[in-house]
Amino acid sequence: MVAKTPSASSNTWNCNLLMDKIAGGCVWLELVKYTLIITEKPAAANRIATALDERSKPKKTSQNGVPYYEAYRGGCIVVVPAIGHLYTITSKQKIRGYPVFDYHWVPRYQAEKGAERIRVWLKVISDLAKNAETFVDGCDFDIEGSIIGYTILKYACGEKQDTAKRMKYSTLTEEELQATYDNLLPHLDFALIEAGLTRHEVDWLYGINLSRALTEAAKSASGQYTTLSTGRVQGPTLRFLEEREKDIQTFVPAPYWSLTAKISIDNEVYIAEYEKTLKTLAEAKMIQATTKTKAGTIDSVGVYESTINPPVPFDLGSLQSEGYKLFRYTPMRTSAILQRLYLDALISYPRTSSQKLPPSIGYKNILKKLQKAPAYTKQATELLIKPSLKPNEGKKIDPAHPAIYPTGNLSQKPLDAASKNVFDLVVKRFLAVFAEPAVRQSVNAVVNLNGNLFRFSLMRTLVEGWFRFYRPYVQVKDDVLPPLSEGQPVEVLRVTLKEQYTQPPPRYNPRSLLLEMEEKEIGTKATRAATIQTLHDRKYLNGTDHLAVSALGFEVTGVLERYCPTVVSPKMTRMLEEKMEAIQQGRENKQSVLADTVKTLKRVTSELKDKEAIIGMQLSLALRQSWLNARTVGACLKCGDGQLIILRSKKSGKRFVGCTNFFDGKCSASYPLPQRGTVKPLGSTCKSCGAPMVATYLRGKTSWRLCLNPQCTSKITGNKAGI
Amino acid sequence: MFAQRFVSALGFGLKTKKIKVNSTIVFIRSRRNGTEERRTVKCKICSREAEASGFCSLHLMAYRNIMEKYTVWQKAVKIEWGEYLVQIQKNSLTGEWAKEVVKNIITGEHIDVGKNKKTL
Ligand SMILES: [Zn+2]
Ligand SMILES: [Zn+2]
Repeated sequence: MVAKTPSASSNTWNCNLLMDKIAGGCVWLELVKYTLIITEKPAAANRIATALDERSKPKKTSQNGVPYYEAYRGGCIVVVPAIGHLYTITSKQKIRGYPVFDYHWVPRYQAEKGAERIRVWLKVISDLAKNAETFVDGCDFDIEGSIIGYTILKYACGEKQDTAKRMKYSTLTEEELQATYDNLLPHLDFALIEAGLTRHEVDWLYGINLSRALTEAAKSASGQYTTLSTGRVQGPTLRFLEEREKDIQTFVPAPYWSLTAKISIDNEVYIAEYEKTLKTLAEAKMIQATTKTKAGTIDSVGVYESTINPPVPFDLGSLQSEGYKLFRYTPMRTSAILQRLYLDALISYPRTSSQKLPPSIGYKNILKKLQKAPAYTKQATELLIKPSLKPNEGKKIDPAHPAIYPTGNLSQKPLDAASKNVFDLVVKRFLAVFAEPAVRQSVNAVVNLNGNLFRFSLMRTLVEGWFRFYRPYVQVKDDVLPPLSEGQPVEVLRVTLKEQYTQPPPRYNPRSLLLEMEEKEIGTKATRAATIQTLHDRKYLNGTDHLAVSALGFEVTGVLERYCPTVVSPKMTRMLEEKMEAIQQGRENKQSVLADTVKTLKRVTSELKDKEAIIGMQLSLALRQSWLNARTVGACLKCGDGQLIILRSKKSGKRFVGCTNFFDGKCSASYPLPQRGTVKPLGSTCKSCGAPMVATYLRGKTSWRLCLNPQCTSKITGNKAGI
Repeated sequence: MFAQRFVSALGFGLKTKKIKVNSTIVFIRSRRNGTEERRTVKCKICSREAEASGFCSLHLMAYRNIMEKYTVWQKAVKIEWGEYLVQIQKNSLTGEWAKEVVKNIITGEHIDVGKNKKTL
């Protein structure tokens, strides 16, 4: 806290007097000198202004819907937020074709439809910049935040990027914000900015050139315009999904057999497995025959103890992964929840790859605050009486931020269920990393049935350790361990022979895909979840829990793999990531990376152009198939071998369902459809009459399940919630 | 696979000027220099370009798996080729493309794009 000196209070008075006298907007700002702080989001601006204002009561002004805050802390401060990125990259010439290598940064409203609000927003920031004396970049301290602050300071504030100072913080708590403002970094982090600009520009070049090449090719073959997209991160991600899908779709299972023995020891029943899997039926049957005995013995008993260390602090990836495992939240959803918790100053900055918790975050202080919440009182107290607190840290580091941790603040308003879950998980993980290791005991027994060895093992917890701090998120099973000894007789109840089949590899789910991307170093912690979402949006994937590549996704990767393999290779993506890392450390520069990118893309695009006809044919076939898949309702009830699809009459423009055999003059089945809203096949049939079902959505919300058969008794069932 | 069969029937024919299909051989006229290029044969099952085997790379991969796993099955249960094909076709773990290849082998039928040849 800055002590209030007499002169400071008189300044406050001046400031407020002006504010009171000249109502309406920032007229007073022309008369006083002030510091302009730029933040990434409105919520952060509010937090920062409130934390910095000596009376914790900044004045909020809203000009054309753009909020900004006037505060006083040793001088007048104006805090104005952005709404994420206000600037973007666009091509200099407004042409449709490719390749495109001329680009520049422009306000988003100049490049995107529907971004008109940005124009007003930038006008307010520019006006506030006119009379500002000093500039402070208060955006999140990472690549994206740095780009947001840099572009605003450069383009909207009149080239203030070189003189502006930087706030560096990991939580939006009052203490940290005040401390960071009182110790501003003397200038922006230019290496981080250069790395960020490079990433944006390289990604833009890849995205626009490859997407346009695909789109143009499809258009040249079909005459129809459908946007196809790919990108530097999207391409390789789709590729390893595709590799997996290939393995699944070409999979042929092989049989094998397993033998299990149901045994009884002291009236307790256990299941023991034959020591190996059996590859032939003959062998399996032979062993089953020789185990037809009523009694066996325990050959050996092994008792083991294992120490299980506490988990490590959360980085974004591992938290997203845990969020999916425990609550089935997609990485995207967890990310959004974390962002809200961060803006509420409940947790630290979430887009971190660190698994470290430095003592400077103040362990004790956080625990003391958490102690006040009944749910954490016991655990926090237990940790506080420890002679020393040392977190079990992981290996991963992040130069800008520590791992994700609770600030100790407790929400003033009730949290929604999902936020509550994620917050609780963050707190309990934080508590667990300071706790003692757990100890588990396992007993492995070998049972001898006529010379054939069967095994079973049992486990229990000896020392709870950190388990107690991480409940209910630690899931371990505790068996009752009977006293077992070598030579002990065993009663055999039954030996079962089971035919089994080898399994195809599992499909990726949002969690395993994220882990794979992390492992292969594709994309960044901040963008991975969004990349997965984009693949869904482009209809390259089917399913939400088990991600399967769609026919369209296959064709797009097929084309890229065949005609420009470098752009979908994970190796290439990783190399670029390494270069950007090098820029951040000052070992590489933007110009050379961009020159390389242009060189690669020149070669690739010219190759794509040469093969446009064949690529176009493949893509348009896939597009049609995807078009059809989205419209196929089910098998035709009338002719049996046709498919019912959603069509639009050329004459009346009305929507209906018709049979594909109609086009061959073989079937005339047709059914009416509602004309309003959107209609989607449900992929199921009506319980009362067996006809295919569709769902109707009005403005994406209200939906009805509708059976196609007009004579069906259970005609329409209203359904408020989405299906 | 059915989808491709009536693609053209729905009025989405490819521009005939650029591409014509002659049984299973595709000719592509380059937009740039106007020369015609003879493309390889189409897959017995789908519309993708085929390799020497007559299958596209995806169906070929499935075909190879079917052949490879037959030895495993033979050893395991002493099964005849025909019975093996029936067994894997009804197994839910068998991949869709492998099933398409099995069907192709069993029936000898080609599920090709025959119906829209004329409009392609
Ligand atoms: Zn029909
Ligand atoms: Zn094929």
